[in-house]
Order: sequence, then C-alpha cells, then structure tokens
Amino acid sequence: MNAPAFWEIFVTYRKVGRLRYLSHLDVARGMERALRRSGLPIRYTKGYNRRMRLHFGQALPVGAEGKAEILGIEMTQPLPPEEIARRMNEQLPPELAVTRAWGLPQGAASPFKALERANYTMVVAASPPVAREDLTEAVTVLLAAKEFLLLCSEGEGKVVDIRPRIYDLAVGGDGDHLELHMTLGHSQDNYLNPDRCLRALEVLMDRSVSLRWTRLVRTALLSRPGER
Amino acid sequence: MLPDDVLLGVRGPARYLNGEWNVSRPSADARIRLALCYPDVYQVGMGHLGSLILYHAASLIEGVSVERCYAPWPDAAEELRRLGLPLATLESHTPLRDCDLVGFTLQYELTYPTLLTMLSLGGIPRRSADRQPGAPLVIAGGPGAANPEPLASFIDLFCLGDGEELLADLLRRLLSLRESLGPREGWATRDRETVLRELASLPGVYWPDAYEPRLVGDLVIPQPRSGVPERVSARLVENLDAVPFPTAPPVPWVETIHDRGQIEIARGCTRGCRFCQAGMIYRPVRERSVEILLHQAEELVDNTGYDGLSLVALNCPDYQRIEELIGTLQARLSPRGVSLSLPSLRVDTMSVELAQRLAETRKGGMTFAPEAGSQRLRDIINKNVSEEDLLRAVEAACRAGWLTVKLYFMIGLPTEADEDLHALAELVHQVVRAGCDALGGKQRRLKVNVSVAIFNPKAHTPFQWNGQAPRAEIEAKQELLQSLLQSRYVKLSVHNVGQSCIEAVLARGDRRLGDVLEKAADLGCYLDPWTEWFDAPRWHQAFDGSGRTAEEWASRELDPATPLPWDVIDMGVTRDFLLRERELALSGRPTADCRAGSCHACGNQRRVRGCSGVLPASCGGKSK
Repeated sequence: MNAPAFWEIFVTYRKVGRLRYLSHLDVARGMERALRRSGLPIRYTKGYNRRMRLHFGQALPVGAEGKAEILGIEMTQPLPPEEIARRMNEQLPPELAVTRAWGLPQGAASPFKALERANYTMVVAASPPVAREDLTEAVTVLLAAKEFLLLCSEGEGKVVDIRPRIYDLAVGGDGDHLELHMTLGHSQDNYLNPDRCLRALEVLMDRSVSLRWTRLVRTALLSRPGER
Repeated sequence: MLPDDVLLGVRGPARYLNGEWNVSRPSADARIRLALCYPDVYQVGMGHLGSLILYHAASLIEGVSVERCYAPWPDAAEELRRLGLPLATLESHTPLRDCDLVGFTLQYELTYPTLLTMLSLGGIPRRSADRQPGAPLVIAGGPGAANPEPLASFIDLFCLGDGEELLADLLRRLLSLRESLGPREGWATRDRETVLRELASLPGVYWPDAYEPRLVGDLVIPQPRSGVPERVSARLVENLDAVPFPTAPPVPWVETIHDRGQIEIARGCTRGCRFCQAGMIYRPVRERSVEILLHQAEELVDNTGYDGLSLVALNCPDYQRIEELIGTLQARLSPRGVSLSLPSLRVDTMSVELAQRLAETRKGGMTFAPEAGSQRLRDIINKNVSEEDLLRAVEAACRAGWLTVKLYFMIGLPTEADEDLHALAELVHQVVRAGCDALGGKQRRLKVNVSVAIFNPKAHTPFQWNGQAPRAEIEAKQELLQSLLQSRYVKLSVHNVGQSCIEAVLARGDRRLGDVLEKAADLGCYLDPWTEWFDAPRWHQAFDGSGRTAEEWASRELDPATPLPWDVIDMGVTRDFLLRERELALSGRPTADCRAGSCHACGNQRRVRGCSGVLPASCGGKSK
C-alpha cells in the first residue's frame, strides 16, 4: 500500500495572558514562524507563493483568551504527537503553548467538522451600571424567546435569528462583578459571536445601557455528541 | 505596558506588548539603561534595519540594558496623558525619564515633532537647556544628523555616520564614567556638562551646545566654543564583516512594514546621483562577504522563522558577487519556504534577470527609478540611465511574466521645464508600448504605476544650495502630468506638496527652526509622515513668528560663497567636491561611478587609504 502523501495532525493550544491582545492573523503568523523555527516537516502549498498548510478555527477577538483552540497541521512525515507538541513549545511562549497534539484515526472526520458549540466566560461592564437582577431578567427573556432577530453589521444588513445558536446562557459572578457564561453555536453554519449575544441583551435591557466585555475567555470547544 | 482596560480600547494593542520572540528579559542589575526610540509607530520602527543593528550592538555590551520605545498611536498617546502615565520602554516599562541614555534615529525630517512629543510623554524636558542633573542624556543619529541644526536645541549629542561602533564606544565610555562616579546618585548629581564633554570627545560625536549659533548672512551658523573641533567627522565602518549584525532580532507579533528578515549585503553607493543624500553620505561602498552573508541568512531564518528574506543595500545588483549570493541563498532557503527579495534594483536587464530568479516578487510588480523624464535632466542629476536601458528592462520584465511595472520619478528638479515633463510623459507612454508589445495577448492586463515625488534638496548633496520649487509650480507640474498621462494602463500617484515642503524646510534648516518645531509639537503636530495625521494649517501656524512661511524657507536658494549651517558636520564628501558636482550638473555633464576607475576626489580618499569607491569584503575568495 502506498504511504499517504501527508499526515495531518491537530494541536490544542491556548492564547492567554498578555498575548490575548493578538489578532487572529497575528496568531497565525506567529504559529507559522514558530513551526519554521522548530524544523518540523511541514507541508507547503505549491507554486510561487508557498504557504504552510495550516488550518485554524474560528477567530478569537483581539483581547479575548482561548483555553483550548485547535490548529490543524499538514506534515510530510509522521512524527509522534508528543514530539510535535514538545518541539512546538520550544518555540512558543507559555501564553501561546500547545497543550495537546493528536493524529486522527483512519477515516475519522476533521475535528473542525465535528465542532458544534463553544463555552465562553465573559466579564461584563455596563454603563450606566446595571443591577444583577436586570441582567438576569434580560437573560431569562432571551432564553424564553422562540426567535431573536438581530441585524448583523457585517454581511450587509443581514438579519440573523440568533436564538437557536444560544445553547445556554447564565449570569454569574457576585456583587458588582457581573459574569456571563455562554454556550454558543460554533459550527460552520451555526456560529455565533459572543459579542452578538451581548448586543441582544443590550436590546432587551434599557436602550440607554451599553454593555461591553472587559474579559472574555473561550474556555472550551465542544464536538457533537458521539464525536470527539 | 498600558493598563488592560486601556489596551482593550485602543487600536492595535498588540504593538504595545513586550517580550516578542528573541527578546530577553532585561537584567535588573544593568548599570546603564538605554532606550532606543523610533519617532514613529512600532510597525514602522520595527521594520528599520538600522535600529535592529544598534539594538544588537548595544545588547552585546555587558552592564547595559537596551530597550525599545516607539511612538504610540494618537489614541494611546491620549490615554497616557489622560491617566498621567509616562511613555516607557517596551522591555522593562521604564519611563523614558528614568533611563540613562535615550537615543532617537532620524530617518525622516517629518518625524521631528513626534520625537519632541515622545520626550514630553516620557517626562523629559524637550530642550537640552532645561534638563536637570539626573535627567537622561538624549542622543540622536541617522541620516537626519547630517544636518542636526533644527534639532540642536533638543538633542544633547548627535552621533554621526555608521552607528554600531560609535554607540558601543559611547556606552563603554558611559560605563567607565559610572564606575568612577559611583552609584546612580553620584551620576545624577554630577555636573551634566562634564559628562557631555567627556562623551563629545569621542570621534563622530557632535555636541551642539558647545557651538555658539551666530547669524552669518541669512543663516545661523554654529561656531565652535573653546575645546571642541571646528568640524566633526562622521564614523565609518570599513569592514562590515567585522561588526556585529542581528541574526536573532525580535520577531514582532503584529505585521510590520518590512515583515521579513533582512540581511545587509552592502552599505553605500558610488553611482553619484546628485539628489541622493544616502549616495553621498555613506561612501565608499562597503560589501559584506558572501560567506558571512550565507551564514547570517541561515541563522536569521533559524532564529526568527521568517518566510521571507530581503537583501538590503542602496543598490543590490552592484554587489560584486550578487549572482553567486542569490543562487546559493535560494538553493538553501527555498526548500524551507523562504522567499528572497531585492528591494533596490537598477534600471537594466541584469536587474530583471536577477529579479526573475526570485519569482516571488512577480506579484508585486517590477520597479524602476529613472527619476527624470528627459535625458537632459537625467544628465543633470547624474542618473545614468538611458531611455533604451529602461525600455529594454521593461520589455525583459514583461517577457518574464511581470504585468505590473512601477516607475519612480521626481519633479521640481533644478532647471526642470515643461519640456522635461512632456518627455517624462512620453517616456511613460513608450514604456506602455514596450510593455504591450512584450505581453502580446496579455497586454490588457499591463499596469504601469507611476509615482512622482517632489525633489527635496538635502544637506551634503550637490543640490544643497538649491531651493525647493514653490508650491504653485509643483502643483502646476502635477496637473500637467495628470493631463499628459491619461491612459487606461497608467496610474499616477503624486506626493503631498505640504509634507514635502516641511521636509525641505527641516532638511536645510538652521537652529532657528527649533522654535518652529517646538511650536508645531505644542500645536499637536504628531506622526506627520502619516498623511492622515499631517495637518497643514497647524504647520502654517507653527511658522508664524519665524519670519518666513514654510514655503519661503523651503524655496530659499543658498549662496555657495557663504557658510552653511551643516558645514560643521563632515560626512566624508567635501564642499569642494559638491561644488564641482553642482557646476557639472548645471552644465549637464555626468560623473562616472568612481568604481569604474577614476577617482573624483569626493573627499573619502582623505579617510580611506587607497579608496577605489568600494571596499570589498574582508574574507574574499570564492566559496565552493
């Protein structure tokens, strides 16, 4: 039997601490440079402008942390996942470290295709300040709604029903410290940006209230039940 | 670092983070803290190879903590003011006012108000005269130091010429001074003037306060007080192989203007274009050896992971072993997905052949700089390029697959008349025809991008006595070109007249312009190289009370018989040579590249024994 032309491996990495201010492109560039420094046998595209064959997931906003982001890497030779993780981490700062590397079993679907939801923790600042009960009330109303149409700024005035994309939403924190815990759609056709969820709550509260996050962490990416 | 809630609210927060790859933690017990500042934003400063060279050279000196500082974008600058936070270094967040030495690079005159504002933001009095004992020493170097006078009231010491050895000398001298003066307290109370005098005794250091400004004719000329030399000579590194070069520079997270590795293959140029300051003040040509460059290139890629490498020189194809260098580099780097680029090419087919081997650049277009449209004018500026050279090069480029050709011209050159602009337009149309012919069926995809700059007379060039053409004239020339270059293939872009005018004022300004700069900074002039921030009315206001408008300053013709404000600086070329070149220019006679064999006694023969225009690399010998 012929050996495959390439081996695809996946790594879970984090984007935390001061490096949360990197943009998605900054992370992609940084990863590519780290991989080139590592000397790992990465597969390139053909042609004049050769690029590494890397596959990133949904962008994290500038300023947001990710505890377990996924990156797909095409390689020209098979190597033990542990070695890949180790050699990458030698070239990455701890705030962008690889926490796990794995290969796919024969015939398994790409983990990107299996993704369904993502969990977020958000620290919310409101101006003027809002009472916890008011925020909880807005969450309750949003969750009770059958649909919630939101005008998405990008996409040229596209109106999207965001309700089916909200799997769970709860207010956390204590005292003046307001947190939102969200589980939002994360598949290709069911993705919801956590910012949108915040906009929806804003609409449901007093119109003069503006909500923004001061901390945002994507804590986990979750696959459909039955898939890993 | 800015506080978190501020970082979340400003544009591009990642540029304010410390600790890029290859940046080591600053040592706590450093005896001297050096802040290397670039008076523009991070993305511009981090692309500047000279700054990376100095950063590296300083980091090799034990006892020195070398740190960087860039101009914050206006939103972040506003936040610093609002919160009362001082501008600080990236590495250790030390406010500029608490550093020992604060150095600026002067790459472009329009950055000067930004420099002043960085001093204020960093808590340092802008004027040297207002700095108390204990305040940092403020130094500056780079091409702008060739005429230091507009900044003379703000900079304690200017560093002239090649900086890597000079900065190291300066730091070593400071370290030994510190040794003899004891701990920081002793340093702070020590008479500032004694320290400055000590450092100013190093070759290549100009101490402006030691020169009394006197009005001579219509210019303010610095006159030496006692104990300082009549003229200060710029430093020259004769052997590039012998000086440190950064092969593990900080790797930015954010995208910078030259977002790739850079190796310096040669310094200087002897082609002798009469408008070109770099070609005059960095003589003679110094080449690095192929062997060392190959080594540096591989180290650089290993240490940074960059996907591209630029070969840096004022004129890459003039590098004597360029073919060998490119061939070997490509063989070694292309399997690693690293592309090569040559940013500076000549107008000839050899350059096209070189570029052709670097297929990556094909997307970006092929750039040629004929600078002037008529042969008459090209002879005057000594740009030894013929129409035929250009057309053949364009033809070769299009045959090789380039669809975009970029042409660089200048307008407002000495003696320029409408005929020259007609010739320029005609030349562009010929380029279009040559390109169309060479492209055959693909001719509809041809793009000829014409960029037209405004001639800016610079110190230490044969045109230093010439004024810049007045605004109305420049605008008329720009309009004429617009009307002459109507073609579906041609896209014309012209430079901003207002920015060019301020650049010209400062490039040939004297010490009186310090007041104008200070006023400009007070009025909020900041990041002026950015067209979006350049504010012409503010600049007009800044010139109120200076006795002239900006345009009047810029267009002044200077008298070759009287002293110039920058005569105190010896950049290698002599006034006699520049005058001879000026005469030759006006009679339309070219001067050959001195590497062809004839020495024109430009002045560098005084400081380089047996100068033949080029100092080959020390290693020599062919590599296998």
